[in-house]
Amino acid sequence: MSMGRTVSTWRDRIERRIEYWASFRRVLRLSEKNEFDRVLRSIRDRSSACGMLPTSDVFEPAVLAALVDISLRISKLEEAEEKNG
Amino acid sequence: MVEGWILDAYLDEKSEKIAIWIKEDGGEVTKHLIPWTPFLHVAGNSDDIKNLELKLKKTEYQMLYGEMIFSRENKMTSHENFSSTEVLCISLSKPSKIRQVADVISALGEWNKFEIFSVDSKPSQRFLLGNKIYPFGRIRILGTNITPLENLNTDLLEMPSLRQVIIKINSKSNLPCRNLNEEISSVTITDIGTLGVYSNDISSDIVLNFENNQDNFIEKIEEAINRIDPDVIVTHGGDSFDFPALMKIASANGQKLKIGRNKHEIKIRRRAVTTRSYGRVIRSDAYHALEGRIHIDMSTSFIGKEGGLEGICELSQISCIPAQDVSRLSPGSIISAVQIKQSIEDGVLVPWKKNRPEDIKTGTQMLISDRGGFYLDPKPGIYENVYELDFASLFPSIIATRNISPETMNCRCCKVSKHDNYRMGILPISPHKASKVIEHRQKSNQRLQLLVPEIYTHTCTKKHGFLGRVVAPIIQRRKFLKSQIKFRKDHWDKRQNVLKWLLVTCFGYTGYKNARFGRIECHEAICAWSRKMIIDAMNDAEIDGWECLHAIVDSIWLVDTRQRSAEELEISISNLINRIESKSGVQIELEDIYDWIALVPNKSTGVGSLNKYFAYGKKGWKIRGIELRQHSTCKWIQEMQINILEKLRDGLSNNGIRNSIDIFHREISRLRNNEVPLSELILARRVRYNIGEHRVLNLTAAALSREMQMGDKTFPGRKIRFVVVGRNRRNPSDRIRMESEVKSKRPSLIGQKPDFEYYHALALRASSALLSPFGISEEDIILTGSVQTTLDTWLLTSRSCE
Repeated sequence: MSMGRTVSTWRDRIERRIEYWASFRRVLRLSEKNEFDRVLRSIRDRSSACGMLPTSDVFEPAVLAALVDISLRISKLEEAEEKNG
Repeated sequence: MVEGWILDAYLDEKSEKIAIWIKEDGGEVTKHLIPWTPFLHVAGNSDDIKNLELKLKKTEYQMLYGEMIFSRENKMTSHENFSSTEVLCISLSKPSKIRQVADVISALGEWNKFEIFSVDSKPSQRFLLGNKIYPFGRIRILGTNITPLENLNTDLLEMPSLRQVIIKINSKSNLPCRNLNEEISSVTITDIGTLGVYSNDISSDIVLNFENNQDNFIEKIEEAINRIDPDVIVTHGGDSFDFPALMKIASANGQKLKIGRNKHEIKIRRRAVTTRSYGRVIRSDAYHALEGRIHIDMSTSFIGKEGGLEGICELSQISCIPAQDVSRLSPGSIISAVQIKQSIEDGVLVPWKKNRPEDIKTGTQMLISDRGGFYLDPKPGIYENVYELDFASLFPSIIATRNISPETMNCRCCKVSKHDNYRMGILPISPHKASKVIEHRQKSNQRLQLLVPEIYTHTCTKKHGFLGRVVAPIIQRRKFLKSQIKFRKDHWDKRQNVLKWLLVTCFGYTGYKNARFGRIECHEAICAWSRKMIIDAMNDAEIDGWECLHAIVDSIWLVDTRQRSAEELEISISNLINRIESKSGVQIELEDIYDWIALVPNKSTGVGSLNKYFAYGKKGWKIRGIELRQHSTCKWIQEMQINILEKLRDGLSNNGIRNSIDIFHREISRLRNNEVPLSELILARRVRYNIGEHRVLNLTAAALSREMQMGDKTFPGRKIRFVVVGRNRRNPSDRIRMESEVKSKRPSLIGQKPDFEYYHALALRASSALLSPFGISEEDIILTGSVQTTLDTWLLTSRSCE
């Protein structure tokens, strides 16, 4: 636990949850594993935003972060499609 | 009658009087013993107080602790209410017993009946404050009467003219970390002239050889010191080595070391202690105090390292603690002393022990409020033309402008909910203006609010907070000192730098459970305000066409998103600064404009690491979190990183990466061919445990055991230095060689080579830390051939990918 804090930081809490997800990841197929890692990264990349939500469960901020990432990637695809006509 | 300025003041335990050393106007330095009777205050139930008085009047107590005189006084016991309570006032004829008397009172009251006040501020500080005088201030002494001749509240505190010498004991082995078992070869006394006076008229070093002067070595030193007659003796390790070593020689000859004034010997004012701070074990050596001179041990004085003698003098005056004592205090203890000073000036008694539990919170409230400053995840990579904006003294400014203080939190008079729509009652930073505003508000009926964002607690808008009144004058003074800086590390700069540390710790102390004027709710409110302010600043920057690359608590890094010209950027940034300043009420500084910045990714996850970056800007390099900055790193790694940075400096237009990787390979082949001397591979580790207490047999434990075999010992809290020669050898103490063996070329080094695998891994990690933002992995570094890109092409390709 961090110095002087009673509540663990978001970053500590999500890393613990990711550790818990390890057995789920282990059984995924290789291609899916890579996708799963991408989801994890999309959550870690938005730690600052997730940390702003004072929820006791890390799942809700994590899902929101992953959704933002997916939406961003869809938008990029849409843009590319529009350009290509 | 004597007139002059105060050099030092302390409680003389023998006479139970305050000894003041005065530098008289004629230049002579004299000691004056002034009688002093401190008071101690006790509050409690009136019957209990009566009983206490009767008990303490008994002869056994008066015998033990000297004569005590009792009276009743009406005093304010807290900043929270203005009304005063009747307290028992005990005046002590033996000031040195104050702590013991307090312990007895506490015990007589079964540790819960009495609140005890005015116990543990330092005797010298209390004496000086009581007489309205301060260190280095001019006074007049007539008999035992003291009259101040100067007022402390002037803007421009002159530096006292202190004559300084440096004393250094040289040992035969000439190692940087010295110990008392070593043989002494000589002593060097360097006259460095008078503080603030830059003259060339300084005599050269006096070197006294021990072997040639064995019989009268100590006398010769005393003679040399008396000839120069310094006010300040600076040492680098005087508390742990130089003075103990000299005292050892003196006592072997049946002498005493008398280098104080008027032939006073060195006194130990505090024994050595080992403490813990922020998870680190720290050793404070015995305090070797001089009488009539000031002994500053620069190697252990945090303030000395940060601000030199100038910084020490500045804090000595601000806190009213003599320089010799203040140099050995942490910034936390000093800010605490400044708070005590403010409380005494307010006429509010200073509690001995804090007695305020944390407010009760629900789990959700805890989740909402127990958070620190804001960090925005950095986007790893290289960025050009980056602007860094900093909030100047953000946390202290929040304390001052949002009126945060233990007694202003959740006041009854300004109760407000998040649905109310009153105007914000932010205070100006200037303490003078703020008190005017408060005065005006107390007269008017206007309803204002200071609602803490997110947590919805509030602070008072009508009563000027205690913490704000402590911190605002320091902010103001620092701003003034900063405006006077002529060049880096001049005396203005040194003085403002130590004030920075006071401001930093002032915030931290609001959350410290034993801080007398701390309250965790203040800490939470300050953090909540800081998060709001930095997020607002980020949002404003985005509206103005900037992207926020990274933000850490009080700094943001911005890059243009609209391809604007240099002039347009300048206008935009200055508009942005104005907007943030007027919204937040806190000053913004343009820290630097970087030609480029590299934000380093986390090694295991690839996302941005917090506070790990390096940048080259108008003010040169700014490097955070990489090995180069760490004290444990060996010289070889540090130099390699410096060389790589050198190649990367103009990296955006040349073959910087390729050349950097070449440096790594060149150094590795030097290591392989044993061309890197062991002395450049010395690592430092802070010792946390005594030998035998380690749970894991790591290199530090191995070093301690080797050191023990050699008859040495490094105490927990100190650093141990060694070279790794065979990490996997069976015998732990054979895995490493100590710095002393390397430096004195002992036979134990014959045939020893650095552990190639170990140092190779260190070098790879260190180069990868610098190259990873460019997208270069450890494999890329090892397989140099596969990397053909220059920075230019890399930037082009990485951008086209986005």
